[in-house]
Amino acid sequence: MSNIADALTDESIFLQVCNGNSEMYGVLYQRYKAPVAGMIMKMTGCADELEDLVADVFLAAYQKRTQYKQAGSFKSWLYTIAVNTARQHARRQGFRRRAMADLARGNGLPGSAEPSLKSQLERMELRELLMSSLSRLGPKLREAFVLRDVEGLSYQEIAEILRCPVGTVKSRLSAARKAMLELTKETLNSHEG
Amino acid sequence: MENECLHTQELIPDLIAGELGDKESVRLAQHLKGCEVCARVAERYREMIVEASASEPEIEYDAVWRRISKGMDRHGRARPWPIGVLLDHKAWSLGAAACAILMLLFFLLRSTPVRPAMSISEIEAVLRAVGEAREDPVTAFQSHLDEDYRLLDNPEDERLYSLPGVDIADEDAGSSTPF
Repeated sequence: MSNIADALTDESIFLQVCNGNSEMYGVLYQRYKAPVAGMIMKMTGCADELEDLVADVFLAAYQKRTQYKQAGSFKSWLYTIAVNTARQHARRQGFRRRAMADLARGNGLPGSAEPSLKSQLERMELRELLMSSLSRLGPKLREAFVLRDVEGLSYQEIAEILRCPVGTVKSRLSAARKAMLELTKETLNSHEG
Repeated sequence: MENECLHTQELIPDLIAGELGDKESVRLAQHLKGCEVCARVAERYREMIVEASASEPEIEYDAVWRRISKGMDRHGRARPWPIGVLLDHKAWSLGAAACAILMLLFFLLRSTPVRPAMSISEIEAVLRAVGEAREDPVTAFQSHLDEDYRLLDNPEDERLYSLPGVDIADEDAGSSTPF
C-alpha cells in the first residue's frame, strides 16, 4: 500500500480522500507532518502547543476538503492553512520568545545524538541565534524568510500561500535577510568583543 | 569597513540561497577568500540557515495522528457520493434554505393582484383615443369646418344654434327691419 501510495501525487491522494477514502489521508500526514511542524514552530516559537497546532492544521485541511481546488497544489493549500493557524496562534499568544529560547537550548529539537560536546554546543548556539533572530523579525518578514530560506519553497508558491504578489514576497524576503544578516553580525561582534 | 566588504556582506544571503548570477557569485567567492571578516559572517549565516533547515521538532507524531483520526471521526469521515452528500449537514442546510426561499417567492407572487385583461370595448376606446391623438391637426380642423358648413346649409338642424359666434335670431331680427 505504501509503495503504491509513494508513487501517487499529493493531489491524487487528496482526491481519493475527498471521494471517501479517508485512510489515504494518513499518507499525506506522513509526508507533511515534519515540514508543517517545523514551519509552525519557527513561525510561532511555540513548542509546548506544537502538537495541538499540527493537529489543528491537518484537521482543518480535512474539514475544508470540499474547498480544495483540484487545479492547485495540495502542498501550497496545506501550507496556507498552516500559515493561517500560526498567525492565529501568534495573534493570541504573541511570539513565544521564552519557548524559543527553550527550543534553542535543545528541548524539542533533536541533537542529543551529537558525537562531541563541542559540536553540540555549536549547534545549540546556532539554534539560539536562529530563534532569537526569528523572534526579532516581524511576522510578515518571518513568514517569508521561513518559507523561502528554511523550507525552500519557490517565490510563486510563497505568493500563493501568503496571497500576495511575487514582488511583495521578494521585498519582504530581502528585508528579512538583511535583518537576519545584521543579527548574525551582531552576535559575531559580541562574541569577539 | 570597506565599501567592498559592505557590498559583499549584503549579498551573502542571496549567495547562500543560490540566487546570485554566476559573475557575481565568482566575484563574491574571490572576496571571501581574501577577507577573513566577511568569510566569518558568511560562514556563520550559512551554518544558521543549514541548522534551521535541518532541525525538526521532536513531537509525538503518532499521538498527533490519533487525535487527527478522532477529529475526523467526529467531523464525519468522507463518504462516496451521494452518501456523503446525503449525510452532510451543510448540504441539508443549504437545501432547506433554498426550499424556503423558493416557497417564499411562490407565495409572494401568488398574493400579488394580477391586472385583469381589458374588454373589447375598452380596447376600442383606447385605439380611438390613440387614433385621435395621432390625427393631423389640419385635417381635424378641416373636418370640423366641413361639419359647420353642413349645419349652416341646413338651418333646421338645432345644432346650428349651438355653434359659437353664430346668432341666427339676430340675423332674422335684422332682416325683418323695413328697408
